[in-house]
Amino acid sequence: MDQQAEEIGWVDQALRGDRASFGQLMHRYAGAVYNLAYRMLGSAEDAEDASQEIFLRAYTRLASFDRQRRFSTWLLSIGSNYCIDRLRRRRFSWLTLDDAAFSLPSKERSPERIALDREQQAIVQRALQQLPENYRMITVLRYWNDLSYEEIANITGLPESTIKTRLHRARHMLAKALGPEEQMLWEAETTT
Amino acid sequence: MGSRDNHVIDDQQYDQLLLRLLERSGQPAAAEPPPDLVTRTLRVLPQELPAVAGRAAARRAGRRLVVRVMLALFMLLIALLGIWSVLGGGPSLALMIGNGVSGLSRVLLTLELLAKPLLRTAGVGDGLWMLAGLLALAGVGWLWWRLLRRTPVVYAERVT
Repeated sequence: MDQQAEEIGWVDQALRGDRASFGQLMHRYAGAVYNLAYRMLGSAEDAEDASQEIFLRAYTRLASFDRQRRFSTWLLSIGSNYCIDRLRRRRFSWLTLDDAAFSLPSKERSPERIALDREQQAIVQRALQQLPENYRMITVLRYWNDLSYEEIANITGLPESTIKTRLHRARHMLAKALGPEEQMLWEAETTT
Repeated sequence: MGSRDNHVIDDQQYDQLLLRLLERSGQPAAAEPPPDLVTRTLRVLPQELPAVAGRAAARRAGRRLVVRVMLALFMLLIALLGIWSVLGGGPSLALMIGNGVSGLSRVLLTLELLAKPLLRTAGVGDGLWMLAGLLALAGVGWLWWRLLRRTPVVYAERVT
């Protein structure tokens, strides 16, 4: 049985009240959903909370799932909308301390901050947080979720041409945000 | 000559180049979700069938919307009645719900008395001040929307 047919089977069983089948779907996509939320929201705590909410939303909207679509596309579109909404709500509460720590360079860094900065992964995570949310979403879907332009277009509801344009700009912004060395390398390779 | 003319490599090459830069930091790497994420989420799933849970969630969202709209209309009504009574066009709102000595009636009466000189001053210029104030309010609203909600996207769209 191919993956899509198996997932449609799980969806049907879940619709009939078999929660374990929905559990199978969650097991399959917990990583993708969590990673999307983690890269979009910037913290493990927020990502965990968001992943739960995304699966809850998927469960309550399961009856509206179109069997012509791939389940992953449908689920990630719920996830991307939720993350964007959450970031917008966060903007309403102005700047949280976490946001400030990520976006404002500080000369007096705490030991925790220094330890974090030592981790190379934190640098990328911080660079991602500097991208505007719509650009961050496309970048995460492309490079972390390894999706094609067509799949990203299906998830976000944007035309492929817009995805390409935004991704083009997002790459420049991300290279710049990664640090001066990366920016220099990027410019050397792209402007010759 | 703008940087647009310098785009001599295609999308695939850009992809490879960015991936090489990310690899220097050990990315893109998958972040591991908590091992009990699925178990905990299963525990908080609604007990009803998805369709029933969906209808219940839609009803809750509808109720929230109705409450918000009613609250907004109620506040608008109070504001309009308040302005009307302050301008002398009708009975005092504060005295409609009490004697103005205690409780909500007293709070409203205090607000009316505070607002009266402000509105009278605004009314001196045949409504010109009022119009200017409304325009300023609309301008601040537009600025807020522009700065807080639109800027990151607009900025990014213009970056070449």
